[in-house]
Amino acid sequence: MANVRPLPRVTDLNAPFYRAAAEGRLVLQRCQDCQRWIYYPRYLCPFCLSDRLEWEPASGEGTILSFTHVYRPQHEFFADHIPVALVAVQLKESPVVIADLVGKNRGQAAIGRSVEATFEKLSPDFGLLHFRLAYTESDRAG
Amino acid sequence: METFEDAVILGFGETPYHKTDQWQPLRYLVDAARRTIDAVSLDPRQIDGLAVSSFLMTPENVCTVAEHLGLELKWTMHGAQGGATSVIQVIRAAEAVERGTAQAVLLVAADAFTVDRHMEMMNNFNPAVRDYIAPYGFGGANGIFALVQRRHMHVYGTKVEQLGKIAVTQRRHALLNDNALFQEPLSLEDYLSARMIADPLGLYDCVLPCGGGGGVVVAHRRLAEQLPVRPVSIVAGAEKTNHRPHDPVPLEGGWASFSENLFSQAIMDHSDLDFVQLYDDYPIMVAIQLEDLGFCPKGQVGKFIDEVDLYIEGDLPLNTGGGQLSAGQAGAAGGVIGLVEGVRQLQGLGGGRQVSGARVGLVSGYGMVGYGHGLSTASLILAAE
Repeated sequence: MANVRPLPRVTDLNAPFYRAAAEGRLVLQRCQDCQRWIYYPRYLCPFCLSDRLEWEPASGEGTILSFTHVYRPQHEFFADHIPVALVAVQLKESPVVIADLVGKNRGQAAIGRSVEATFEKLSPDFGLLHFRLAYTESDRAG
Repeated sequence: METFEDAVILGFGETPYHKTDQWQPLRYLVDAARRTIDAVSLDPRQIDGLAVSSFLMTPENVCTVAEHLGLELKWTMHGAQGGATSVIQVIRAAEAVERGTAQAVLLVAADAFTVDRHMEMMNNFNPAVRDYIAPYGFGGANGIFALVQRRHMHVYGTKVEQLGKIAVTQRRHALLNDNALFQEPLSLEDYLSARMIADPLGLYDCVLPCGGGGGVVVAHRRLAEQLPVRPVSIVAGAEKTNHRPHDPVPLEGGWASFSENLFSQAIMDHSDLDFVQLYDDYPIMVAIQLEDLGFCPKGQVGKFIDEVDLYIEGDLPLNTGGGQLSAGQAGAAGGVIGLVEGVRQLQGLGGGRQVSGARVGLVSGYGMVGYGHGLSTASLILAAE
């Protein structure tokens, strides 16, 4: 199983998230009662315990709260990805997502930098969310 | 938040620690049980409460351990709060003993890990970690706490040299502990030049998963009077689980929500403490506990570490047996090692690492890593009688 990324268990709860990701879209649950956005997927709103949660499109934009470069990832799949740029992103809608940075400039993370969601389609029903650093002037200057 | 009048700890036991999982988890657990029972001269038939904590014991549980040991119980608790479990179990056991539900509660924690086995556990630790973090190659708890440390350094200016002082201090203490797995001195230079694991965490920021266990007995003071023991009173204890529920990378843990109350209800302040045994999965978490337990304002732990002598002979002896960072992290026993060391010190059994005149100490637990941080925190103030 060395070449296979450890994947999440897809359930009735999180399938819509992964299906949208396969189509290049970020969707998040939004509580229809208190209006807050939720991540990671829940059965009940962790703010008000409502069960009226609906998947709504989210912007995909966020800022970096923290990051690290993992030199000893825990699974053989990542042997060719060292160091992994692990990142905690505060989405514009408020939830915090822990994921990775991809792209050539993934070594240039900084707390406070803007990121945008990007997706890796692994099957028609399953996409994996990643982030990439938002384009800046210094990227253009190269 | 609880204070107690009559609940005491009779004594402690600790297994040998092994660098690999030399024994099965259950064997470490029952070895800890046997050593603890012997240490307090209890007849096993007097034990009527049992609390266990172990990640790898599954599918053994508190009931099957009772069966294995032939114990008949009125009170049982199977821990699920990771490294906070043992401290929480002391609080719950103390409540049971003061109410008269049980007269003597045996509390044990043990595990049998290797580095690989621990990584395997972290990949599958709970659904939030398995499904929403592990797919990204997080490197186990190291990746998660690297995020915490980096942010603490960014927001408050905490320096790696300051966190390194924690590792160096604890290693010096470990050299006085025959059961600690690390017996080589560690200098600040060694710490700073060590290989990067998940920046800013380096090798000496990380614990070594290993095999081992420990235990205590919580009992009513009346029972302690009949036994050849030096009881340790449980002055106060508090738990907070899921502090700051919507902040995955918090720079503050649950201790902040109860520490002021813990000290005021115990009618003590920080200067009364002769030592602290803080949960040390990482130096950054020791630092955060120092802030949250009120030793210094939030964000100023760097300055505190610079100014305070944390050695056994110093101002605030920290993790006097070396802590998990230098003794080894035997899974859930990481939650009992500080408790055992605290009782050892208060009973005057510290030998070469005895804190002179130790009469009051604080023991703190942390555990059950969820989405980005440990979910459960708990602390105890203990005193020699």
